[in-house]
Amino acid sequence: MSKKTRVFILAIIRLWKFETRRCLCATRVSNIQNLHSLDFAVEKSSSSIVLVGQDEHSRTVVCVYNTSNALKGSIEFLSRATTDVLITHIRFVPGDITRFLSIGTDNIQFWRIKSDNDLQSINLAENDFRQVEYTDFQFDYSSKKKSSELAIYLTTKTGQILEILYDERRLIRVHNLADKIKPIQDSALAISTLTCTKHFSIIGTDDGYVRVWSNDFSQVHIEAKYEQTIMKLISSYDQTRILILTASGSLNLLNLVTKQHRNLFRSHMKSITDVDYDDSKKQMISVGQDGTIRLWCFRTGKQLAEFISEKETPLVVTYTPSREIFACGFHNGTIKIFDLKTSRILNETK
Amino acid sequence: MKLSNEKQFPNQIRFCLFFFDRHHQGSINGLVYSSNGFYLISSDENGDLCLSDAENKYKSLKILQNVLVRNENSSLALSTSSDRKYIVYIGPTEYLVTIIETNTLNQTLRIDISSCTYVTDEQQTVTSAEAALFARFTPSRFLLVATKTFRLLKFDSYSGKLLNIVR
Repeated sequence: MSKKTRVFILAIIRLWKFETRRCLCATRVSNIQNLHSLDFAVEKSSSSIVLVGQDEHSRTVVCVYNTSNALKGSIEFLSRATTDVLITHIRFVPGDITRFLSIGTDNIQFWRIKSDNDLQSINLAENDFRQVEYTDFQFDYSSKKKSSELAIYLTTKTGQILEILYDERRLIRVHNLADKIKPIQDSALAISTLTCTKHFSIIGTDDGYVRVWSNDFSQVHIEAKYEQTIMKLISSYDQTRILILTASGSLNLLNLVTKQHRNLFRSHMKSITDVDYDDSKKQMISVGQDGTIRLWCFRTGKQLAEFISEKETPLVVTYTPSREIFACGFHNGTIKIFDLKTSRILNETK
Repeated sequence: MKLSNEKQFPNQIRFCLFFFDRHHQGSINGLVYSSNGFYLISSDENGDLCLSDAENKYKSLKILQNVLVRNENSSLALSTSSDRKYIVYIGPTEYLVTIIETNTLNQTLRIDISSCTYVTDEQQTVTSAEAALFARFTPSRFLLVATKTFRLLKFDSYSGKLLNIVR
């Protein structure tokens, strides 16, 4: 037997043309693996990418690429910095491709690309919120209505939004959202992500809620509940619709004007271990390592039903010849028999 | 039910209880219904095969222990013929392919793939001598066996004759 060696897989960045769905260029990022955050900024004729990964010693690496010539098929490495702090999110300052901000669960760093392409970073000075866990941030103009002041809205695991003035690097306000909404559970309101539009701040939480707040966080306009933790919220260009990504792999659209909701897409989150078909109804059952059993229509690709198993992992699935019942085998040796009409478990063997 | 009192539950009864209470102790890696839907056949990673009565609360009718080869590659262990009358699996060793009747688990054919030979068009004699990964019935009831050295063996599932080796 050969010894197992850890393979260092280099990260690849691909730049896509959205309209044509074509990949413009693909580049290997030297000495970086485990890419986990990136941002893209365009200013006049130039554009840049900033990305965060890890080097071979598992230290955090921040890399900046000039993508102005991407249409010609090449992107140019600009600068790179290594740091010991863990970074979860990174974003360019609006309208400035030489400055960006990064956060980790316990750190906030202000970055600048100097004229000689060197990267310089400054930590946010000590504040009273050192002990809280940061989860996401957005740039917006301060709720004080002085539109010249760029603010950072930083979300925390304990339900606060910290408002920080970018230029002064100073915490000016704390919005405690947990105080403003009726407590649903005793547990803290863990904010997972946010996005800001001109009129609203949209906030997603670990318990699956998306809430559309007024920009000063005084009231909630829309509240929507999803099945799992909200992973990301993206506002459309015209700021009327919000794209919502959840931890269960679903993609949803919320219209802020009509308040209508639409599911676009669902998927398994880990590998699929088995499928079985029902040709007459054009349906399919899939089971996967993410602990879900999903029923699909294979003509439309839509998910029709989902069974979530929290304690056991479903591995094998099979229809009865009549296709009205299916059996599912789990990793712990259990077999469960499901009725498709009633969605009930008819039998369970161990 | 706790079986703490040895005197109350002599060995024989414990044996039965074990059989009737518990179908599988390892991860399930194969599930097949019989053609009439009356029986469910299941297999697990320890190599156990179980026949359950789907008409009677899925009570186990028959359990064969260690008949399948231990499956580490997480591929599905059981494959049925298109009429669901027969099941094929790899076992008891990785060189044996076994075909059983779905309704009874009775063995109908066993092929030792370590000593199969066939004569190619060029009149060369080829012997297969490798371990199997998994076996599948084709719709026309040929048998395909994937091996650990990335070959595909094609058998006649009635006679067990090796028809071809695809590299």
